[in-house]
Amino acid sequence: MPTGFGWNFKTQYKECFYEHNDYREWDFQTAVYEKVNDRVARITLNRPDKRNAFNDRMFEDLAAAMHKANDDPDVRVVIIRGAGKHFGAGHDLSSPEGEESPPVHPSVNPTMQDYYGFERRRCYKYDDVTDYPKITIAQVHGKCIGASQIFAASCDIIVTAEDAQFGIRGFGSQLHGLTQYPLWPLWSNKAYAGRAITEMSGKEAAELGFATKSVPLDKLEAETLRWAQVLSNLPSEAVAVTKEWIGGMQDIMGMGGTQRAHYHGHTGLQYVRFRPEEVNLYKEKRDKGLKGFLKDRAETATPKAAPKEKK
Amino acid sequence: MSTILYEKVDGIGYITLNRPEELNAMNDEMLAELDELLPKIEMDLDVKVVVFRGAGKDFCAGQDLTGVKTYEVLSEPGEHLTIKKRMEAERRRNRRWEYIFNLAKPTIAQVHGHCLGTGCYLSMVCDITIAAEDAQFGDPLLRMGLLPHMPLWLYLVGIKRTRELLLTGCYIDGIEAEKIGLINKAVPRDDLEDEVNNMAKGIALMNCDALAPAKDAVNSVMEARGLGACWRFTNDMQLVMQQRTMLPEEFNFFDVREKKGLKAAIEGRDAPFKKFCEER
Amino acid sequence: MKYQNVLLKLDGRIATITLNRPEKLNAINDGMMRDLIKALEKVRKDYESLVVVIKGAGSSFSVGQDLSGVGTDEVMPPNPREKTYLFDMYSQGFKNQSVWQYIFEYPKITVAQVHGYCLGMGLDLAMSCRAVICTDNAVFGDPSVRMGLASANPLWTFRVGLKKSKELLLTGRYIDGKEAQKIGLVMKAVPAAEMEEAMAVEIDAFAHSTGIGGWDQEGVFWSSWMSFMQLAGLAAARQMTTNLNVMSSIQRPHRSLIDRGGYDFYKVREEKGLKAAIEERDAPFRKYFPEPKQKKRK
Repeated sequence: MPTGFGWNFKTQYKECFYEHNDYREWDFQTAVYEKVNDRVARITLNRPDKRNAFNDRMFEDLAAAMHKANDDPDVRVVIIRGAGKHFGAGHDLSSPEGEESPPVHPSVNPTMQDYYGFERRRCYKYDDVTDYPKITIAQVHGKCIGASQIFAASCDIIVTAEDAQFGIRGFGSQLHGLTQYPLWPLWSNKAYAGRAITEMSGKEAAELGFATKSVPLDKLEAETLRWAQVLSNLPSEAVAVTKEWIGGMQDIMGMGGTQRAHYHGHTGLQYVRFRPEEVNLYKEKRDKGLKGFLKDRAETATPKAAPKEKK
Repeated sequence: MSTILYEKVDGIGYITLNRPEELNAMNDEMLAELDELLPKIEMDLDVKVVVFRGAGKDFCAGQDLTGVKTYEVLSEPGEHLTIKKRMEAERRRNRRWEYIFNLAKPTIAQVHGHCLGTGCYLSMVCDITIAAEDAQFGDPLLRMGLLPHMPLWLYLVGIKRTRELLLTGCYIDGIEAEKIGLINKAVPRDDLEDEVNNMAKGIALMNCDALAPAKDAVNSVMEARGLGACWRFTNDMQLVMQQRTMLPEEFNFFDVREKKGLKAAIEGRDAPFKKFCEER
Repeated sequence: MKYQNVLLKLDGRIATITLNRPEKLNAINDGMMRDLIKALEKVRKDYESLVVVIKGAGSSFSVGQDLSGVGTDEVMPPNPREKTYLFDMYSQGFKNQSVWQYIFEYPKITVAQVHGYCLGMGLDLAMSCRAVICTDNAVFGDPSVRMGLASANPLWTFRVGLKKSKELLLTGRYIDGKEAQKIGLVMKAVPAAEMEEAMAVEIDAFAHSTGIGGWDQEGVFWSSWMSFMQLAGLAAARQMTTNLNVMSSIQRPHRSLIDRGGYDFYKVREEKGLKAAIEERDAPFRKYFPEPKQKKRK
């Protein structure tokens, strides 16, 4: 599946793999699917050496796992968590050529039509989680940024470690309307939570209503299972209808346009010109590699005077 | 009037839900009296502001779940009704909340004790809610396989808290309710009446022609934000909910009520969630 | 840059617009509105400027519309005692609508720095900025309803939620910076002595806060956020609040229910002067809604 830095596009009519996959006999390479008990399925994103960053395969494994859980008549609740130290670091920007995960380099010079196809595939997959007919719980620890943050936001419940990190300076907070109303759109005053940097801890996230519950890291798994256990008592059809109702109202309130506006933002990346003093995404990655780019981005997104209040 | 009491004092209209032995649970009789009273109040130019409150120990524990003379609050499974009749029934049940929301006078809910289900909905459609700190707000409808049919949940407390509270059905106290935006203010129980009267008297200083457009401006914004469509959509989804399949291993509230009585049905409904909600 | 009613300072990434009628507590009249827009246009076209701080000279941010009746044909509805055509009121209403939408969708980062009074249209201005930082004893409020007017500002429920919007707009009561922070009206409320430092830190953070695509991508992102707001009904909301604001202002005192609690602001101003009119407007409410302590208003 082509795209990524320095790729050639074909047309927008490329078959979208994860829309047509069949989870039966699926070989889960980058995610683990298990059943905690009859009613609770758990999906573990499993690329810990890459901080569970999403490459194409992990998107497919996640989709296959969610389909599998949905078609299991006993499952009522699905937990999504990350192996290793983090929930997820977003898209894998180091993905090799042939992958859709990194942003498209402008030198590829795609046509608008090609680019739309790509961006729609990129952005609409979160809707599968938002519209999922069973209860979803994101179990978050470590970094939860970029695409990973959008996935967590799309779940019904977020149980998080107190010291998890939502959002990252230099990239912002990927809430995209999928959260508490006073925080949406981003830049309502409560969202700033006392400072203008769009990072927040798990504890803060729960305070603001972006996450549901925060606990010390060592209690995270037990707490998540506690929530899964109690919610698995709800009548399954009633849950499906209620989720459809809430999701429908979110659309009516304007959040149906969330992912469309999201990919409009991405499209801009094709045409931006960096100011001389700015960290140039493409040049930096070429000259300093991914790590160098991320470091410089974070530094330039930090104010000269450090805020005094603790997180 | 027996299940609703009304008195007018200093430009304030006090509506008291009056079924204290049943925790002011809403049934057909109470809603019929309310339906008759509200238009009269709306036309009374000497009433500037309306206060809703509950007799006895509670504001309102929600729908009367006995199944006796409760057509206006609950659709029972096994009703043999056409889609058209069901649609009309749901619309009438929900339009009441929409009507109170749009009442041309400011409304204040004075909440103490239990404020659950449709009792909670009443407090949500009022403009201003002031509650005792230990009041209990909650919406346990989903546990009974009913749709928690109040669109204001999303607007008031946001997506995450709406999903949390409607899925768990846990109750929260007045202090938490204020924090998350469900109510305006939580006060010590002994101060509740004075706080509400103070707010009402301050508002009553102004004339109706000032208050009505000021309120309508905010409600118009809500309409523009999709609330109008959400009322209708909610009615439709209640119809969909009525078509649900109740699996044999799931708790069936109406079945248990028929076989063992209402008390057992409510206990059975809440049992799996009790410990979780206490430790929440 | 010489404007009559505002001061403009450009300084690298940070532009500062100061409302400058301190002897009138920065009451907003037609001239100030015009100068504010001119200054914002200047900043918009300035390559260096990325953040715009809007603040008030003297002891307050702004007490809102100039209620003197002089030079306020555009910002204030006409005196109901004058024979105005409804059409003209709507004509001005439409124009005002587009001005406030311009301020709200302004493409650079607007930060309101508030101290002292921030009332009525002054609060509308602060609310239209992306962020508000205030002193903890600043005073916020919209007393429109006490004068029989519905607020034309559709942002209330987006900023502080439905319940608090209704409470503050139906009572017209005043709150301090601490309460404003609690309900999400402002980002941060700090003691006056710490204001300068707090502003410096936060503005610096704003000036370095772009996403992965740098400042060139800001326009795309902001356009998307504004799309969210429109999808959420903002345009319709603004249309309707403007409509109700005009409607409420057309009511003539003899037709409204003055005897059943009402207050003829224009009559009192004519007979006793502006100061007395404002005092008579607010005095009866203090018993029920005590005002935050503040220096005596001029």
